Amino acid sequence: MPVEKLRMVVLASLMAGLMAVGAYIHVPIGPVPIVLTNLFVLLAGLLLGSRWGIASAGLYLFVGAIGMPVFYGGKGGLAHIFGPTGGYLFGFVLCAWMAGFISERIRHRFGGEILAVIIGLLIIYGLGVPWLKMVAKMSWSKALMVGMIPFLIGDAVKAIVAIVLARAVRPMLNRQMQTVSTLTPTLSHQREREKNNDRN
Amino acid sequence: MITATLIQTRISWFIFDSILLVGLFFLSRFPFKQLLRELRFWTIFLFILFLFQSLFTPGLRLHSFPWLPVSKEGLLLGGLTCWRLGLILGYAVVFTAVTRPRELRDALIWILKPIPTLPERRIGLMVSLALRFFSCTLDQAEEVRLAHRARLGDRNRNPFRRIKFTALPILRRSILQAEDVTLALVARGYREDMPLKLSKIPFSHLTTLIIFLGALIGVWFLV
Repeated sequence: MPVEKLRMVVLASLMAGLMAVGAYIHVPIGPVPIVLTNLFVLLAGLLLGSRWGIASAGLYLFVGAIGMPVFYGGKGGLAHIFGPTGGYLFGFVLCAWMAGFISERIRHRFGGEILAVIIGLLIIYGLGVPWLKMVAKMSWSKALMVGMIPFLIGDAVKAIVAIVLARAVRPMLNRQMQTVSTLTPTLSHQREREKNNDRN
Repeated sequence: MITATLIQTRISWFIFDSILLVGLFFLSRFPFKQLLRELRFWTIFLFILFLFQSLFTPGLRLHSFPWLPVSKEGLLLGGLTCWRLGLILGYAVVFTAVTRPRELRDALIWILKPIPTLPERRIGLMVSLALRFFSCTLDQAEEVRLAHRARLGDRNRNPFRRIKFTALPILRRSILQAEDVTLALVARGYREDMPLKLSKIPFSHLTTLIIFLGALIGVWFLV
């Protein structure tokens, strides 16, 4: 496997791990606490792009589905995915893809990143609220009151922080990518030398 | 299989799932107090949901308590919804608490192996890395939180600054750690075509699985 690809595999796993950590970190603002999972979902899309963004969010969902306690409140399991908050979890996957897709198309410009996070968050609610309505058998107004309105301010804060973090960390990632790229020929030469030694 | 039975609307399936959950709970030797602690938040959510359903579902008032603004249909609907969600959460808590990550990863690779298009080794690697990063990052988050507190950062009420000064150091450290892991994998010559060693399922587990499957098929035909 090429080093760049292996690096993206590791980074996607890291973002999935961070999403899980985000479910454990609460920032208390008012009656509803902010959970940082959405923040890392948006960040995965912005930093890794659409392909690896969807891979990391999908991996997070998958790890949760096989029973690891990575969802909010230390929950996990397939049953939790089909519970009342399952729509938000599926929304994370699409959100990471969409945020990455828009961010790639506008080449990481500030205005475009704002658009990417807004559309990403709308996708989460677009899947989460109807799912909550269906599973909990609520009316639309109740589902919106329980599953969207209280979180809007917190999500706006998270969206801004996601953009700030993405812009702060991207130069570091690019620098590391250059280091890995310079390392690749050295490693491939080394492997070829080993193969030749084996043949001899 | 359990998820399939929980989608059903008949009360007999709910009773079967409840009995099974109680049985599994006792077999797992999971502490009852911890189960209550795990379900504490969800109990509040389920109670609010029950109130919503019973107060706002149209229907006949109760004969015994006509002054109560709840309907018979609302109480029934609210009770069934909360019962189903409670069962889902109960299964999730018990399963999560008693299964080791390595067992899960091995089972995952074993399940995905017959599917030709899926890279089961890569998925297995990603799952184990994600779990590893999860535990390492939790430790790092605790370190950052303590360092933040030592510098009186917790007195700052600005949510932007609080998230920024928590998330940015965690992210930076984690990315550096990820780069180290990548280089370590490359240096060890990571390949996806290496032979796979999986532990065999013990005979006692197989017997229990067959008994459980038989009971499920029996209940399916009886109901």
